[in-house]
Amino acid sequence: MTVLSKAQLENPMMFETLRDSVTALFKANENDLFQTIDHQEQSRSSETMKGILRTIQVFVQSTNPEHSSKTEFENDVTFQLHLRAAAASTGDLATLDDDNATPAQKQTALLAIDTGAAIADKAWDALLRIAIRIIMSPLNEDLGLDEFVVSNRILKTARKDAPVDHGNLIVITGSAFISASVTEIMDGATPVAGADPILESKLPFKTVSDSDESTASNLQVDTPNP
Amino acid sequence: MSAGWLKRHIAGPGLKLMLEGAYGELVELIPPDGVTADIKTNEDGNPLRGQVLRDFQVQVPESGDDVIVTETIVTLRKSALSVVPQQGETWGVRIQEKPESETPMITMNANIDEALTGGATAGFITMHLKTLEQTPAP
Repeated sequence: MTVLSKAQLENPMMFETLRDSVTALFKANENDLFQTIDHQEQSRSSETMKGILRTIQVFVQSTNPEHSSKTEFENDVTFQLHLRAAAASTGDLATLDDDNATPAQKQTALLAIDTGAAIADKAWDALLRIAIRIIMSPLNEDLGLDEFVVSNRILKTARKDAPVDHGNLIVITGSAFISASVTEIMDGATPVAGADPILESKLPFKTVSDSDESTASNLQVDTPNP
Repeated sequence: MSAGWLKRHIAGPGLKLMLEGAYGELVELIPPDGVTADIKTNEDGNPLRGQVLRDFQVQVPESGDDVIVTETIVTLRKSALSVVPQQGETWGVRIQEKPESETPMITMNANIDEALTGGATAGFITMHLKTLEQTPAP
């Protein structure tokens, strides 16, 4: 039986360090173009994701630690990005609100209304472009961590959902996935007192001591001819 | 009380009371035909009123992401209108910003393709409004 200390259990693993780094990467690159949410929310109002308030929600979706009994192993981490954008219709409100405007002028204004669907669709595409630029930039190959800590980083499939079919605003959501590999290092386990190591071998082995020089003299090394 | 009487009552006085009674709000319509001026009065010449629902929120989990949307729905009696919105038309709709009286009116738009409900027999029309903002200057 192996007992781990509380400190060992609470010690963050690399996938958590990577999570914090990826989130920080998005936050540092917002540039008033979007906002980053570093966790899964229960829900969000469409009003709070309109225009440049469109959101990228970043969270760890899954990990795939390499099957290994070693103290070090590769952990393939997958992050899910929820991309959300909302838009209102735009038009010539000034004319529509003008009591002196003629019906013909108002007709022109109504016909020229740009529906929120087209605006929201392009806003979502732009949000995906921003996410790809941030993650796939050669400068961010290490996703904000030290060199060689992260490998195989890639932004995988992105999927756009159909627009929400209700509401004052047009809302478009979708997902993209980032994967990367990190090396996890497990702390040494605290051994149970009194346990002796058990060695089993089907071949008889001989214990060689330092005084057993005959064994060393019998060694022959073949070298290739020059 | 026959079915015919009930239908006439629903289409007529009953509907007027339901939509334009104590909880009815001021509504103005901007027709897209280029001929008709803004519709601000009903068939009696009184200010046009209708039912305006603002707090209808829809949660959409099918995308895997819960987004709450607010939907503004206006229901009007067809017989109160000099011109009735038709499929394929985009109308301007002006409603009170808040349910309280004497609050500013805001302009939204309704694409009648999206929700022309109410039925011919019942005599009302329902419009699902969209938020409309001023087009940014180039």
